[in-house]
Amino acid sequence: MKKIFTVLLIFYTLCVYAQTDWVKWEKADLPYSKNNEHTKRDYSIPGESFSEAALKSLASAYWFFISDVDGENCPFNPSCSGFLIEAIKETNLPQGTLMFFDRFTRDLNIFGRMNHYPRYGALHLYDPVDLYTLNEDKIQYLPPTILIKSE
Amino acid sequence: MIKLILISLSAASFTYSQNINSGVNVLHQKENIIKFADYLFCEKDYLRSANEYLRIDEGLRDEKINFKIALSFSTIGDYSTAKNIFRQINESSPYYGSSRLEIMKIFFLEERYHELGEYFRTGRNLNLSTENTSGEKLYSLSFLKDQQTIPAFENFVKAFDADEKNEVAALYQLKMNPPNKNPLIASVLSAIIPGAGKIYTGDIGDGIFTFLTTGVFTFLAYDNFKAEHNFRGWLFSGLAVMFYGGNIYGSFASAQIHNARIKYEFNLQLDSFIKLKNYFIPQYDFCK
Amino acid sequence: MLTFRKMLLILFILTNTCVLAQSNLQAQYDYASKQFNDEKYFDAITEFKRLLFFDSLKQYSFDANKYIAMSYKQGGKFTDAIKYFSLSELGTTNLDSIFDIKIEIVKINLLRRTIYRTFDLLNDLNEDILFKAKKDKITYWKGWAYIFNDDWEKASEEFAKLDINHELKIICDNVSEAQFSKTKAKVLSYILPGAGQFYTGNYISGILSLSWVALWSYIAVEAFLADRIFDGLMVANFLAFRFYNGNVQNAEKFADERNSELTNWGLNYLQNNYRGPKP
Repeated sequence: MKKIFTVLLIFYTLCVYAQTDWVKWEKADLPYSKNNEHTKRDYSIPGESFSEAALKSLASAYWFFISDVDGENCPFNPSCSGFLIEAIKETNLPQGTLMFFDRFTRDLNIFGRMNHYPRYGALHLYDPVDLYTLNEDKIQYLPPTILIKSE
Repeated sequence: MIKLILISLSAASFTYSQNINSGVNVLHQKENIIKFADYLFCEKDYLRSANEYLRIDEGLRDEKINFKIALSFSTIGDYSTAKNIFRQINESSPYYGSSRLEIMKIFFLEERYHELGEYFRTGRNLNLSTENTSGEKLYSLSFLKDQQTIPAFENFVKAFDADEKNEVAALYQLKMNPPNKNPLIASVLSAIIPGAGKIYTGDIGDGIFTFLTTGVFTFLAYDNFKAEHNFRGWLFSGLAVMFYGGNIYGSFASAQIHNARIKYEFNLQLDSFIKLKNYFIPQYDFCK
Repeated sequence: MLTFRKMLLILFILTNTCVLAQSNLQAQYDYASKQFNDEKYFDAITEFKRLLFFDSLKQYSFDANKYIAMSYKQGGKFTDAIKYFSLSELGTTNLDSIFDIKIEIVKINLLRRTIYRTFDLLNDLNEDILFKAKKDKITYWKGWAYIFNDDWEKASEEFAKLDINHELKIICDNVSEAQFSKTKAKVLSYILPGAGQFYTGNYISGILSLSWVALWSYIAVEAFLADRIFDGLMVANFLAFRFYNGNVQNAEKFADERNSELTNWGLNYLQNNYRGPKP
């Protein structure tokens, strides 16, 4: 009986995982160690323009003095401050600011989040800037059922 | 007789030693390569199967083998190699019609609907009745994927069988009249009542919270001005205005995202229908 | 009536073809093994599959499937590796071989970090009377399972059962002693904001936490004393409490970070320097 079950199980996995060898693979690196998923801030200051450098310095200061020590308050990736920087970079200062205030109200809504945004890791929901620039070509709809980044 | 035995013995030992040294033996001869490749093909080990078939000299491969090589590459997603081989299959071959359908399938998967149409139309006059019907179905459905003008309903459904017509008609209707939300209406609604636009697009929770934040900051501004705390009054006014602006902006975005979702779900429905129908390609009997 | 000579000839030809078929399979086995030894694992799998396909008597079932499994393992294709180890297991009746295969499956589960499955498999082996004589090996791999489960203390206990001075026991003890207690870090920060951060060595964060909590608490208390209750409540709730909470969260996070650094140090050390059996 046990053998029949094993054979059935093997047959089943054979059907499911036939794709492993559809691309030629090489010897893999198999580290025992785990990937450390601790978020590292990007404190670098871009040299492209003065306003960008000033904005990034402000954000870095905010991260260092406030965001890193006041606990986990933002459910999204990118975080609210990260969203603001990216939004301004993608569009312009007034539009980016409007996007930020819209994001902030969505941040306050604690109902039905899980059915609205895809998961990003264990703790966050994915809410990228590209969805909100009003440029339809940039909108890549992602259903909440998918996992952007595993834990 | 003794001589014969001796010759046979020496031949055997010769083959044996050769096998060990070079690794080339009976198992690697043409007919065994084909047997093994056939087995791999049916095990869905397509890359290995194709590589085995390719070990046979091109001149010695028949059309069936070439077709199976192309099919393998198509299945594993190497579309350009697959197309090249499918295209080389001769018009007189029994696999020619199937090759045409497979090429159309690849165009469809590559989202090159314009080329799919062109390819289908240029071969339409060939005497391939089954393949033409199947091809026309995929060709018709490719219109629903693209931005191009969609044919009239009667022309669109005529290729399909009776049992397919209902579903195809539903897809056609959904494409023509998607339940989209107008971003401008969403913005105007939110300009009148903060959050209303988001409720209109279906983001009810977000709508309520937008109303609350805008409301609370407006109240705080009013209250502070009333108590003559002018600085705080202006501060809260500024924030209220920003939340109000963000709400109008966000409602527009929310409608756009809603429409993107509708499109995504439509494509999902269309793709799963086409996949279920196996791209209208008849089943092959290679692994029976 | 066949003459003796003719019979001899037929017999000879028959054995000869048999030897030939045998020699072909053996040659194929050698060729496939060579691919494996040359680390051409994808091709090795093709060649072992070819061997299995033509091996109608299934003489190579155990070895070929095992090699295929080991090749998949080298490519990091763990699910396939387990599948072929299981097939290999079906190709033998030798108890030692079966046990070895089962341990190979345990090792794959360690590498793909399906630790609960590993423990289940090891418990099954432990309860199996057929493997009564293999208790030491089972204990050894249980130790490894605890290592991969980040439980260095329990791992050390398992290795101690084998030998009180077992090399792995000593390594596990070292890592376990160097680790930080998450509870201790949290409790310290509950009592004095920033203290947990000092315990884990994150001094700047500790000072920042302490300063923020002190500042907002002071402002809140001042507001309460001046009867500005609403202001006091707002500052206490939205600022002082927020930073106090963040301070405790950070203490735990830093302990976690430090511990996973230590764990990775231990795992890397074992992978590169330990010479005994390992996943």
